[in-house]
This record gives sequence, C-alpha cells and structure tokens, in this order.
Amino acid sequence: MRAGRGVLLTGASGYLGSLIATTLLLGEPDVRILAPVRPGHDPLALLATLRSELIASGAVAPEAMLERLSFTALPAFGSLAALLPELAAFGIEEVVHCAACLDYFDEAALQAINVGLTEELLALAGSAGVRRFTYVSTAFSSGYVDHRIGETLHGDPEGDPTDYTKTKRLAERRVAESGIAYLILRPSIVIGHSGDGRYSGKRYGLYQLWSGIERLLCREWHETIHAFAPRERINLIHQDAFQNAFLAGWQQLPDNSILNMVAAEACAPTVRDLWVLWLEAVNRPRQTVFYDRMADIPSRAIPPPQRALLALASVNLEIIGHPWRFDRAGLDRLIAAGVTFPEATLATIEICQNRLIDQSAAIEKFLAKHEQRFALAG
Amino acid sequence: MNMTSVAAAPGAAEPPSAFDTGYYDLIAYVVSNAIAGEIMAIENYSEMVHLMPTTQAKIETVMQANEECKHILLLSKLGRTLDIGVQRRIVEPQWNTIRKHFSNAVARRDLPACLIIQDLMTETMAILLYRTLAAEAETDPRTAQVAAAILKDELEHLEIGKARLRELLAADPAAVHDALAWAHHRVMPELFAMISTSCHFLCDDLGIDCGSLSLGSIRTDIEQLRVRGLELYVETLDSLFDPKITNPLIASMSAYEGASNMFPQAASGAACCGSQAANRVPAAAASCCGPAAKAAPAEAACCAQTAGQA
Ligand SMILES: NC(=O)c1ccc[n+]([C@@H]2O[C@H](COP(=O)([O-])OP(=O)(O)OC[C@H]3O[C@@H](n4cnc5c(N)ncnc54)[C@H](OP(=O)(O)O)[C@@H]3O)[C@@H](O)[C@H]2O)c1
Ligand SMILES: [Fe+2]
Ligand SMILES: [Fe+2]
Repeated sequence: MRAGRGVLLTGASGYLGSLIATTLLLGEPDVRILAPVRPGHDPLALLATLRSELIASGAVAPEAMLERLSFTALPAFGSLAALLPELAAFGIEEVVHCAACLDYFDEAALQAINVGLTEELLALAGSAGVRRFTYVSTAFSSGYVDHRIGETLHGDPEGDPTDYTKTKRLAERRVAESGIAYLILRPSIVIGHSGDGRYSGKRYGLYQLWSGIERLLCREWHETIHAFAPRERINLIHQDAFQNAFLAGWQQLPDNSILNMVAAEACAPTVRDLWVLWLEAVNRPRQTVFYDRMADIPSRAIPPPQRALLALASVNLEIIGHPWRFDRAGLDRLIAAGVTFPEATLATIEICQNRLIDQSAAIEKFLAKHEQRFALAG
Repeated sequence: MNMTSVAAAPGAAEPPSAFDTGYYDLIAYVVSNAIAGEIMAIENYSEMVHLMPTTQAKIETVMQANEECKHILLLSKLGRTLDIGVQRRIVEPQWNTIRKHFSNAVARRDLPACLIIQDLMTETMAILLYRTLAAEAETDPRTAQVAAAILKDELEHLEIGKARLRELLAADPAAVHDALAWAHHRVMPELFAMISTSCHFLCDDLGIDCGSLSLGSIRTDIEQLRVRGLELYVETLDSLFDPKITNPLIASMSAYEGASNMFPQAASGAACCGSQAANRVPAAAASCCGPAAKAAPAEAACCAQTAGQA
C-alpha cells in the first residue's frame, strides 16, 4: 500500500477535483490518491464519474487506475487533525487542495471554507511533513485591478467582484506564508472538453448563461433579444487544456510558483461572439440588440424572461464585462516545452455549446415547435 | 399559499368528473399548503399592527388579516365541496421559518422588512399560486372560482404594500434597501424551496401517496412555475426599486438549488417527500410535493445554477 507517492486531494467530488484525480491517475503511475470528501457522498457514484472520465480520456485499464484512489470521510471543521494518522499510514507527500466554496453570495461560508479550511489543511500538512502544497485558486483572485495580472501574490485591489475572489486571494496568501513549498494554480473559466464538449461541472461561468437562456428564453420565441454583450474578450479554458497544464505545472514548475492558467488573448472570443453563436443555433430572434454596458439596458421595458435572465446572470456578466488582462509567461513556457493546450476558440466553444444543446429536452422542444418559422426564415 | 401546478390532461378544460385521484390528491396538497400560508399571513399582519404609523393604516392592516381569515374559510369550504381532506395548520417547515424572520423584524421595529416579507414576497408568491389555480383550463371550475376570488384580494394586498413601501422609500431609501437585502436572503430561499423541495410531512398527514400524483394530472410543470415565480418577483421588485439594487439579489437566487449537476439524469426521478417515502417516483410524478411540488433533479434548478464562476 505504501509503494509510490501519496497525494491528499480535496474537492475530488467536484468538477476540477475529479479532473485532477483522473489526470494524476493517468499521468503519474506511481501516485496514490487519498481523497477526503464530505459525508453523504456515495463513493460508487464518485467512482463512476471518475471511471467515465478515464474511459473518455482513453484509459485502457481504468479499474486498475481507480485502485490507486481511496475516498475517506472529511472530518468536520476544526477536527481535520483527526486525519493525521491516515495521512501517515498512506504516506502522504503532497497535498492538492481543490475544495472551495463557490457561492458568491454566502460571505460566511466563503470565509469559513476558502480561508478557514485552507488554514486548517495547511496546519495538517505541516504536521504531516508534507513536501508541497498545491492550491487551486482562480485567475480572478486579484480582484479588480487596472494592471496586467502577474504570476505573483496579489496586493489589495481597488475592489472585488464578490467575496469569492477576495477569499481566494486571502487563501493564496495563507498558502504562501505557511512555510511549506507551494504551487498556486489560477485557472480562468473552465469549460467542457475541446474535442467532444463533455462537461461534468455545475452551471458556473458560461454554463450559467447558457442554461439560463435555455430555461428562460426557450419557452417561447422572442422576436427581439436584448443582450448584455460587452466587446471584452472572455477568458475560457477547456478542461483538457486545464488537465494538461495542471500535470505539466505539477511535474515541472519549481517550488513556490504561481501559474495563471488562462487563454491566449488573441484567440479568445468576445461576449458578443458567444451570444451570436448561441442565438444563431437556438433562439434565432429576428433582431438582437447588443448593449456594451449593463446600465444601458432598459430593464423595465424588456420582456420579463429577458429581464429575469439579465438579473440572474448580472453578477457574472459584470465580471465578464471587466477588461481582465493576464500574464501567461509560465504557461507559455510550458507550451514551448511541449505541453498541448487547446485554446478555446469560437469553433471549440461551439463543440461544447452543441453538446449542451443536444442534451437539452427544453431546446429540442423549442426547436421542434418553431421548426416552420425557422425553415421559412432560412 | 403554495404553488403548484394542477391541471387536466393536456387539452381543453374538462368537467371535474374527468379529474382523477391524482388530481384531487394534488389539490388537497396545494390547498392545505395554501391554508398554511394564509395562517402565516394572519399572524404576520396581526403582529405588525402596532408598527403601522397611522390609525388608518392600523385599520387597513387588521382588515387585511381579516381577508386572510376569509381565504382560509373559502379554501376549507372548497375542500369540503370537492370532498378532499385538507389540513388547517402549518405543516411544512418553511412557513415557520418565514414566520420567525418576520417576528424578528417586528422585534427590531423594522417596518420596511415586515412589509417586504409579507406584502411583497409572500403576496407575490400567493399571486403566482392563485393565478395558476385560477386558470380554468387547468383546474376544475370550483377550484378556479375560489382561486380567482382570493387572487383579487392578494393583488390588492400587493398594491397596498407597494404604496406603503413607496412612502417609506421616499423618506429613507437606505433603510428600505437594507431591509430588502436582509429579507431577500432569508425569505426567498424558503419560498422557492417550496416550489421544489420535498414536502416534509404533509403528504403523510394527508395520507397521500406522493407517487399517485401522476403526470397526466399535471400540466404546468414545476420548472415553469419556478420561472414564472422568478419573473413575477422581478416584476414586483422592478416596480419599486432600481435594478442596480435588485440585480445582485436576484443573481443570488441562482444558488438556491444547491449544487446540482449540469446534465442530471432526469429519468431517475427524485425522492419524493424527503425522508417520508423511500420510494423513488418518476420525474413527472415528483411534482406532487412541495407547496406544490418537488421537481426531478433535472427540473429542480431554477434557471441558472449559480454562483460560482471561476
Ligand atoms: N470551475 C471553474 O471554472 C473554476 C475556475 C477557476 C477556479 N476554480 C476553482 O477550482 C476549485 C474547484 O471548483 P469546481 O468548479 O470543481 O467546483 P465544484 O464542482 O463546486 O467543487 C467544489 C468542491 O469543494 C467541495 N466543498 C465545498 N464546500 C466544502 C466544504 N464546506 N467542506 C469541504 N469541501 C467542500 C465540494 O464538495 P461537495 O461535493 O461535498 O460539495 C467539491 O468537492 C475551486 O477552488 C475553484 O475556486 C474553478
Ligand atoms: Fe390570502
Ligand atoms: Fe394577502
């Protein structure tokens, strides 16, 4: 059981955590993973998610790979130290911390989980003599700043979109101050696989907008659609690009590195491009009115479903509308050294979009209902 | 004051005799939960009388409480007419939670918060419910008739609340905005939970088998109700507040469903009635629970799932 390197991975029941688990199982044959998850999860269901991702990634012997992973119960806050004997028995050498609260609106939970849990895990890692602590942060942890976002720790910004970015920034600092060697990874917005569009995450980021349109604007046909569509480029990365960059960063970067896992600006589409891509595929309004600024939208005058969508997505839309500019020297070096990083272009994003459309009963119904109208419109 | 969709099989209105047991179980469920909402409304209005600034406003508030009493009587009578068992007490826990928040606002003498909870939020959801029940093509004529009568009062209550809040907004906008944010984060999750989460005890109390409420008797699905509820709530807020104030509040509603996956397996069904029933019911039938209903996982999340982004 002790052969190979032990890695403690948090957040394995979530989207990126499960992708990291499969990446390590596929790319690091001598790694064994101990994955604490909150009580209430069905380990078989979690394994099934990992298995299908392994198979989709071309694994020939997924069962053998999964034998290198063990789920364990995550103790309650304040008692993480209870894991210490298990860490020692498992031979844990590294921690990858991917559990987090992503609820923008729950300030207490953001603080408790993103900062508190990270602090506790750092203490545990210290006691266990862990060699390195990898922290999955976010590209937006800088908060709103007017300069290019570097691959260093952030100072205090002028403001934060939400407490989510603030608490992720604070957690990064705790990691860097811990005295344990660290790697901080900062992905931007992760979307489905560049090849087949598969996506097992929640409705975050772009998926929030897509599923919002699916639920609100696909019940009836809208002749005119009012869209908040700033001309800013939107920074998206595919899950396979994330996985490749994760593995390369984990294997190659020196201790105490910070990696911005972001899209090349030149390839990134604008929010408007994404609206056009979706509306041409699904809603096909006669007219679309684009707005550069949220404040320009006549909220009270637009149809209720469009108004509701705008409000629901408003916080993410505001974030997307900000001109984020990232350094990606670290990633560019990894790419130059041979890492494959499929950029999210309009064509590959369309693959993800089509996957969602193909799986949506609501969209299928909508398109069938308006088949004639759309056929006539050409 | 709960919402559900009650309906004949797709098609035109049918006489009551054409409605099946599933339909009447559903109506019993919805009416019982509506009565619970009305009981809460009586208690809320009665508790806030002393906060009303003028004698005229106190009288009006007592009259509103009285109208809520009438609604309970009307709904009880409807139960007898249709020969369905209805509960005349609060069963689902969300109502008690909302009551507690309301009492807390009263204790702080926070009149804007009281008006927002009762007159804006609860009445908006009551309007959604009674509008759905009053749609003649979807329910039996007696239910539709009673719902239409109550709907008229609830629309009035909403307007009275709005007028009072407009005055308070003119005097102290910051206090009203604070009250809105406070009430929104506490009350709206409870109200929306009732359009999707399990009915904790009510089906048991009524002796209803959740699984018996079949798809055939339901037309307006839960997802649609949630969307309509959201739209109506946004409309109510827009009539009083600047979108700059309300947008972030509404954005937080995308988090209400917790963490559901993007492509859940709709067919697997949802565990109806929480801990009560271990049986899994098909997705469609799952609409039995909740103040109306309980959606299958695929239907459960209102609009955009939320929150997180990166
Ligand atoms: N998805 C993206 O586009 C994206 C982009 C940039 C950065 N990130 C970062 O990536 C990480 C994972 O995000 P994700 O997209 O994978 O989110 P996710 O699918 O929601 O996963 C979150 C994980 O954190 C766990 N968690 C939440 N609250 C917890 C608590 N109180 N105690 C212990 N564990 C808790 C969850 O456990 P349960 O399953 O038990 O809820 C789950 O395993 C986060 O740190 C996030 O900041 C994500
Ligand atoms: Fe009423
Ligand atoms: Fe009322």
